[in-house]
Amino acid sequence: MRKGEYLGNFELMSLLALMRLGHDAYGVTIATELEQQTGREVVIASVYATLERLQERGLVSSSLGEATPERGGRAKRYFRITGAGLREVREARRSLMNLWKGLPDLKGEKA
Amino acid sequence: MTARRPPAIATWIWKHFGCGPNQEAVLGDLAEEYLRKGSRMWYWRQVLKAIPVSVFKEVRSHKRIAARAMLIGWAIWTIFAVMNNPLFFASFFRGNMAGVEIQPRHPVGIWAFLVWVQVALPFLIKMLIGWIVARVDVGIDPTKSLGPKLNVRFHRDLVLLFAASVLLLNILVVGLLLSVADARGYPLIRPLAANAAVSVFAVLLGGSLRRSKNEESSVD
Repeated sequence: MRKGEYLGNFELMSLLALMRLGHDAYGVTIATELEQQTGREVVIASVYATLERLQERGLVSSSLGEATPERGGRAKRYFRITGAGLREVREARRSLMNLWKGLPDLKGEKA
Repeated sequence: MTARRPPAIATWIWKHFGCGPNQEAVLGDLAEEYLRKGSRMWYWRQVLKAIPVSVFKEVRSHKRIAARAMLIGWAIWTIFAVMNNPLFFASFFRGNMAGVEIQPRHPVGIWAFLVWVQVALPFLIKMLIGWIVARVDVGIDPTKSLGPKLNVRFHRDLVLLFAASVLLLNILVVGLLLSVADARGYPLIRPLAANAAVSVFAVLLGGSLRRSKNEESSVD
């Protein structure tokens, strides 16, 4: 059995958003992606808090981007998933798929 | 072209109470999204939710320092609360000033004494506690601290955490009073609420006296 912390729900969703966005993943685009896919409002600071935590665990890397006038001259911080992050996502997917297997369809939708 | 500026007060609040290494990037993102959405309500909601999120994240990353700050703050608070208790004063005067006439001739004297003991001194002590809590991380090398690198503004998180605990304790006291007291206890609620607000303000004011070198140059 693997040691270490499990990915939280929001952590996993943030990593998936990074994978979907590729090179254009920064606070606004990540929050928008999460909002579009989940239908819930996302607090931008909580995206940063989550990604900073994932960065401390080596699952995400970040770099400063360009500053634009509409941002008040403040630079964007771009995030990218690392190799370790990808492995963690794969592992989470495998675990979740195993847990879903054999369960009856949830009411109102097909599995 | 006139660019719409985000609510200035909300921005000020985030600059002064927000934490974390990406505080500026968050502000940039908020400004960018505000231009697209144009909703002041959205901006305020984001800032007010962001502050506890960022404080909690920083505190979680440095639990030991946060625990030390809380312990020191509440130890001083408790000692002062015991010493400032009227029963303690009475026993002190009985034991040390036996036979001394302590009733002043001029009523102004006793009022000045009461204002000092009940208002000014507690306020100054709470400010001092805020200042001490903000200095708990002084001397810790940011690069050598346990866990992730210590943020230069971490002392703000400590002060906010302590102020939140003071507020929580006061809310618990008022809640307890409301649940056990009958109508006779209700007049106490207003002074207790005022005391809570003043206590939190004093702690924040004391904590704000410490500013890091980086802040002096980066915060407007």
